[in-house]
Amino acid sequence: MRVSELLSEDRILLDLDASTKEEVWYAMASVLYEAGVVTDLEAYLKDVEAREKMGTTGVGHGVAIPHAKSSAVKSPGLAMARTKKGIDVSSLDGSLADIFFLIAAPLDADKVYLQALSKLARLLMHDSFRDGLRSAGESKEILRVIASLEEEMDK
Amino acid sequence: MSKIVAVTACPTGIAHTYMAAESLKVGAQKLGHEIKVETMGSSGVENQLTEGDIAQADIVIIAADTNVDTSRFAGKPVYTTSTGMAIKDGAAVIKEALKSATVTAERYISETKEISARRSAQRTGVYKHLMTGVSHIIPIVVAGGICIALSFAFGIHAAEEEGSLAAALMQIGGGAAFALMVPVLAGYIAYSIADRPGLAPGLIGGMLANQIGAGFLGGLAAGFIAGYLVLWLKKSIKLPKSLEGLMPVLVLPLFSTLIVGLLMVYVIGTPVKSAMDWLTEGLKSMSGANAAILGLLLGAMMALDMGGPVNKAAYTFAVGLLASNTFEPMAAVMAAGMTPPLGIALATFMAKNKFTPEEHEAGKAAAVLGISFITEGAIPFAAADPLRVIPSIMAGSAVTGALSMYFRCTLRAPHGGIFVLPIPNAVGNLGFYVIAILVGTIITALLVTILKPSLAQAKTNMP
Repeated sequence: MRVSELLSEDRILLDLDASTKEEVWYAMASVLYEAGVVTDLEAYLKDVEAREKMGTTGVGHGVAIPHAKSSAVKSPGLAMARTKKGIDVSSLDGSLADIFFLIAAPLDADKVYLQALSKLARLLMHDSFRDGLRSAGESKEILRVIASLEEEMDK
Repeated sequence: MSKIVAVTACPTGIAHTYMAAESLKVGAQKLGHEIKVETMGSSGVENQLTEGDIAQADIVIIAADTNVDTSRFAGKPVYTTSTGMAIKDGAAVIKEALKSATVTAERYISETKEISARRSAQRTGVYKHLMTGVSHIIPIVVAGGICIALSFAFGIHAAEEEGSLAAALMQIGGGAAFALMVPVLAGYIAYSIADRPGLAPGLIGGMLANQIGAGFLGGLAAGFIAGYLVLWLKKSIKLPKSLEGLMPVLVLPLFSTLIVGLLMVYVIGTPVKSAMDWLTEGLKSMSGANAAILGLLLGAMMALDMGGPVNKAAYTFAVGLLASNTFEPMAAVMAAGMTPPLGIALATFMAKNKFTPEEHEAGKAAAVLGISFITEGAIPFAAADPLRVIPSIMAGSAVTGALSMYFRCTLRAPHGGIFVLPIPNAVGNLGFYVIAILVGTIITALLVTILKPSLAQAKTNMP
């Protein structure tokens, strides 16, 4: 499964106006709730928070990947947000995050899905990928960036 | 350019494992190093490191937030960090790893232990059952053998005087401990095969082997027959549900003991006793060249796989003969099991230019393992360069085994390494025994030193 298949235009929030990470989570989780991926918004956000308490998901380079395996998730889903200003997520490298990927996984998430996520994780370590996400003008372009770098990596 | 292997792992195994892996890759590329990263994530192990990858690597990086078993990296410089550090700056982690990855003597020893533990966990079938039996008698025989040796310290005939300390020590060692050896061996072989119901017929069959004089061969026969017999009985005897509770306490122990016991008394006991007598008589009268050849063979077997099945076959043979008061093979086997790590350790001291600083450190650890009779201490060196190291240690061990047999050295305790040597009478012909060990150690060291290319040469020969 490809990362670009997990994401779609309506699950990408660009120039989000937020000042705390909880606000960003809420905005992204609402998108997944509306799409039917998340069945119980509050329960899911609680699980995301619990995961965050085990260790920050602010992985540095201005990126955060909040995630949770949760009984409030029906099927695997992904949402992305780019915030107007950097947000404190207690990053590993102290940077403020402006790129967020929210990952929703059902308790029995299968391997195919996990592999797609591992690919996203790998992509995030490349400067060119992050630069592409930051300079994209619209959601369509974000999807194009992901698809093209993903293809390059699969080679 | 350095060759690096790495392992990444995190508790959830969804993101950090892979980000750390990618970040290390990107960092290595930037710095011009070659890297292979194994990821231990929630979708399993990917890009698994092969033995070849590890053998060729200059250093190992472990970026993990969970425990990673490092035994397969024994003898390699390892640098450990978190996934967070690797994600933050892969290149910095690699630079730091190349600077500070080390082999410590302590880690080398713990890794050798992990190798042994993993090997014993992997044993299966007849070999596993045999080793379960042997491992249960070793402590009994060590304690008993040393008690007997101490009794002799009062004089060879001191134990004949009733009520003396020497007599008490002889009673503990010879009368009790050694009498338990064959029954316990048989009992635990059967236990390994058939679980608890195997214990009764195994122990009793082993006791009968003792009484008949069929020695450890009789014990082996009793143990295996008892074990497989109980398995078969369990499957064949069908009781009504209400009586099933009687199976483990009455039916299985009674029938299996009757069958094993009668077989031992009427069928197997006598021929096995003859075989045992023939073997011990032959070994006792063996001298000169014949003894040396047996020692040569046992010695080479000890070094061939360093604690593996061939090594254990030689060791079991020697331990079993202790039950029949034959002590020469035990001496040869322990001496030959000590020289592989000792010889390698000596080589690292003699030829400084042929070993890396890490290997010098590992050499010190190998010396400690060698004097403790832990042959596995040679494994990391042998694994890194089998074609040069294994023949070298086999030659040294074979010579040591041959010399020990030729000089008729004896050993009453089946373990303990150098630490049993000072115990009075534990070793017979002590002076020559020490010479045998030293000669083998030196032979191994010389061969390793001659065969190994210097570090500079090894580098230029690289493809």
